Amino acid sequence: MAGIGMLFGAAGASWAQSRYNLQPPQSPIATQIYDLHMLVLVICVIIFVGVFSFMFYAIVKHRKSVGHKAAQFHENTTVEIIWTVIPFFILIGMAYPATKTIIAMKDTSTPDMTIKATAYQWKWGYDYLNGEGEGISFFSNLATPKAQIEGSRPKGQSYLLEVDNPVVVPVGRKVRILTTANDVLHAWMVPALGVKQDAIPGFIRDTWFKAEKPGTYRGQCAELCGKDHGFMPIVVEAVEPEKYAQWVAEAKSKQGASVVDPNKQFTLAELMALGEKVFAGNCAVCHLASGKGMPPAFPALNGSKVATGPKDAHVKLVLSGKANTAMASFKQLSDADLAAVVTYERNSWGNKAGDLVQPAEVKALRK
Amino acid sequence: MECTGRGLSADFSLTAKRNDSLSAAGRHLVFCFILAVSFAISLGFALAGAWPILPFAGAEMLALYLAFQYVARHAGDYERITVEDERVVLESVDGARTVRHEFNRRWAQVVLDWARGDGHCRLALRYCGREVEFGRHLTDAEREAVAQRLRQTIRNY
Amino acid sequence: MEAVHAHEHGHEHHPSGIMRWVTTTNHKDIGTLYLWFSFTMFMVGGVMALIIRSELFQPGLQVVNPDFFNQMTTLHGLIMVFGAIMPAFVGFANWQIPMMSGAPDMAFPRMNNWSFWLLPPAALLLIISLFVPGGAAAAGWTLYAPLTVQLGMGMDLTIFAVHILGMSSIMGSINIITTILNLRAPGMNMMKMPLFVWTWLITAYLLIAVMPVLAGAVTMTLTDRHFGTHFFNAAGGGDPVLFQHIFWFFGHPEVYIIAIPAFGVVSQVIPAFSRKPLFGYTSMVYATSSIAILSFLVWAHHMYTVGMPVQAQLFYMYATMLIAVPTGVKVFNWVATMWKGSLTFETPMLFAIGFLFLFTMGGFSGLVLSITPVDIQLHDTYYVVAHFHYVMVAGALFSAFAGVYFWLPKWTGRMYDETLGKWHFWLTMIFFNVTFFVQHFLGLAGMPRRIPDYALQFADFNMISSIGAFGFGLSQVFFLYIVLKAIRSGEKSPERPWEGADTLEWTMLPTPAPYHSFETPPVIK
Repeated sequence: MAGIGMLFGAAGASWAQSRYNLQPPQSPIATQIYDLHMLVLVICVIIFVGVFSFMFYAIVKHRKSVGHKAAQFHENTTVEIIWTVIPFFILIGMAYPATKTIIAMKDTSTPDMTIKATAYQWKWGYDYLNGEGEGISFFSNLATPKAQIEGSRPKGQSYLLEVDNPVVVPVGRKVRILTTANDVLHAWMVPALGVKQDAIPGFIRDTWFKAEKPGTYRGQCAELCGKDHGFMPIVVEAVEPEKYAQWVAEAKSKQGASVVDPNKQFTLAELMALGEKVFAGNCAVCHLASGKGMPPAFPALNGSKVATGPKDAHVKLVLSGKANTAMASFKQLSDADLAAVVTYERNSWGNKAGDLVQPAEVKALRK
Repeated sequence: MECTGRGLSADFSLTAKRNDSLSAAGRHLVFCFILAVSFAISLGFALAGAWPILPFAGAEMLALYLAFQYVARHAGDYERITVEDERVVLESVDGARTVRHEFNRRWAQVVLDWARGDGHCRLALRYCGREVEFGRHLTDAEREAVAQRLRQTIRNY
Repeated sequence: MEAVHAHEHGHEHHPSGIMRWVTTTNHKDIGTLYLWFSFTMFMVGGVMALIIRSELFQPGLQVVNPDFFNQMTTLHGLIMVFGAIMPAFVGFANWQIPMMSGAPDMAFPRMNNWSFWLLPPAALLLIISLFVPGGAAAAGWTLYAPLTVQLGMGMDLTIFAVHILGMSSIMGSINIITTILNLRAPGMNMMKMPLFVWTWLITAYLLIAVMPVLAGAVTMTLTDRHFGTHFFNAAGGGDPVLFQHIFWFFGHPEVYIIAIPAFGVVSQVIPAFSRKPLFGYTSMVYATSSIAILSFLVWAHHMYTVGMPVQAQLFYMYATMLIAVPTGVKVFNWVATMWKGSLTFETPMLFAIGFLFLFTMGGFSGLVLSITPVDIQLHDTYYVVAHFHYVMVAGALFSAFAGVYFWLPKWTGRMYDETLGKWHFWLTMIFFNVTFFVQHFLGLAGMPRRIPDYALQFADFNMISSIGAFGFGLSQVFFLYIVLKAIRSGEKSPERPWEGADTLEWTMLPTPAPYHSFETPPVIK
């Protein structure tokens, strides 16, 4: 209820704190949007007060109970023309700055770097395509633990707006974001940077931003994408260029270390350990950590025909997904990850297939 | 309802027409306008790849056409009763169907009852055991008034 | 809303009991059916809204799971739009258009019966879909592809329901257009028609123009799901964005299909209680028509974030902004009608003023959203949710309440309790704003819509909104009580309960209106 007090006590200062307004803008476009919104809002409030002061004057003075007799006029061409034409000019006054901003927003040319954001149900994948950091690629999952969502643990400061791997960008550089999706529509939104772009399966769209100050900017998926639409946040960390270079070096060395020899033979224990991690990060949102799923939309893996049947069919299903269901393709995962997660599914809970899948087998099944 | 009590030759004549506030030309104009817009919309979408809108728009235009057609067919509907000399003539036009009945004035009987079952009164002429209904476009009150007038006129021969 | 019929001749015979309502072809009976149906659906959709608001009362998942939450937002939208608001205004159309234009009934009474009786099966399909494997459609009321392809059988039931609702709307529209054009009383020329009749003529036309588009859209969704077509599937050469273009080509005029009859009701109520003719009748007709025409040109403003060429964004922004001009004209005309009138504030007038005040706010937030860059920032956030509830609830619903209180005496011959009516207005007004005003702040701060759980900075406004929603819901149960009380034991209404009301149903028909009115047309001077 604190909000009600705040509502009426809203002083000039609180406007700047974004409680009752757009988030404080952190990019040139976001600043323009902020100013445009203020301009339109102020004009609307003035007109609103003007028009309704006439109405309330009439309500007070022209009421029958004070003995006001009704006039019988019912048209006045001059007045009607005036109130058709004047709004027209006010609109032109709003359209002019808006047009400039639109043109600036759509100008994605000459970026300093390009990052592709691929949406999955329900996480984001990032590939640094161009510029410093080229070749870096990772997934970004919700980092808020389930216990906080279900209420068995107190909620943290950045509840639902925290990820395991944020997008790191240098400040002062024009970053072009390409969006696409793997399954259904999603949208990549970071309000403080003035960016919102739908991610459309099969198509690539783009947008851009330039972060002005170092900081952590948080957003969420903005287009309904199914069950966990509310649980796939976006975190952009803008850092000084030197720190960015440092991050790039670290990320590259980590990525180099994680590349495995495709012909390496894993033991069951190794695959199970890796598989459990991959499962938790990719599969557990629907099929649950217990493997019980949420039938009928999200079937149980525990005792399922696929997880206890032939392993090639199992690998293929995970690779290409199942048409017309929420089961998406997971071909973006590495051969080792896929081999591990399939092995894990076949040998966990009640499943005792006893076989194990090697990365080389997954590689052979990819087309 | 036009009613003439004293015609030149007829003792009594009454024409009851349905009210229609749109001319035939107006109906054409309205239909063509709606058709043109709907066709433009669905054709546009068909060109963009969404052809299944066309059949739905077509079915809808057909329904609208039939509705307007029905109205047009009945725009000229009327009923006329004429009493002259020794004849009572009932003419009724319902769509394309024209029915004409002639009765002998001496034997014609005016029937007014509440047996229709829909809460309205029924006005009919009976002659040789056969009844012909009249007054589709009239209200109950008017049917009652007409029945009274008819009884007087017929009897006054 | 139950009609107490005068038995003029004492010879009325109807099939009794339920069969009377199933077989009726009387426009007043059918209007009554529409109104009761829409109120029932309003309650069903309202319960769904309260489930949504309960989950959003606090951060965290407490009441429902995310999948069911999505089913609730989807069904709430579909039921409120197609089951509650649209049928409510068709109900008004059925009762009022024949009486206001001097026609004996609708042009096709039997078709009128069918268009009503298609609605309950469609509503049942939507409700049954909650209980089939996979649950109801959970893709939002906009049913965006390709999410719809992933859903279970509930989606198919929704598609069939939409088809049936569409058929009902088309039959209703053909009936309304034919009635207005062909059955007006002699002398009732177009520019003498009451504005409510005018607004319905325009609305019926919009329905005829866009309903096949919706039918096509859901059919393509169906064939994509089951018959291997790829209209909206990129992998097969289709385009998911095409669905949005089709949907919003229907969806934007749909917004006006809901709003325009509401303008009509308000344009009858405000002059009646100002005891002064409507200001600028001609400009009202032209403004409404231009809003209808512009509504075909602005659909893509719902989808700026899909990424479209800069020229397209500019075109849609200019066209959208232009709608503010005729809308402004209407608001100015209503205020000018009140100006120098002799105002009284019975419940219908209170709701009409509430409409005027809040609808204008919704119009202004619409103007904010028409600015493309600002829209991109606010798209799919709670700001949009707040905006369209100001237009739909404070716009359409308030005007429907105004209409019910205004015409209830004419329909039933009994007065509602004025004190209770005023209570209903003030409770509705206050709780509406508690619920929805704070959602502007949530949207500005960046809270996306259609999420079952949210970050901590959104917590207090969501709590306020949820409290408001429960208050608002309960106020509508109170409305039911007021109406039932009026029908059962309300005071007998005088012949002309509103001295300023001057349309045909007040000047030329007794109160309550007889079961059959204007069997021969009155002559309008």
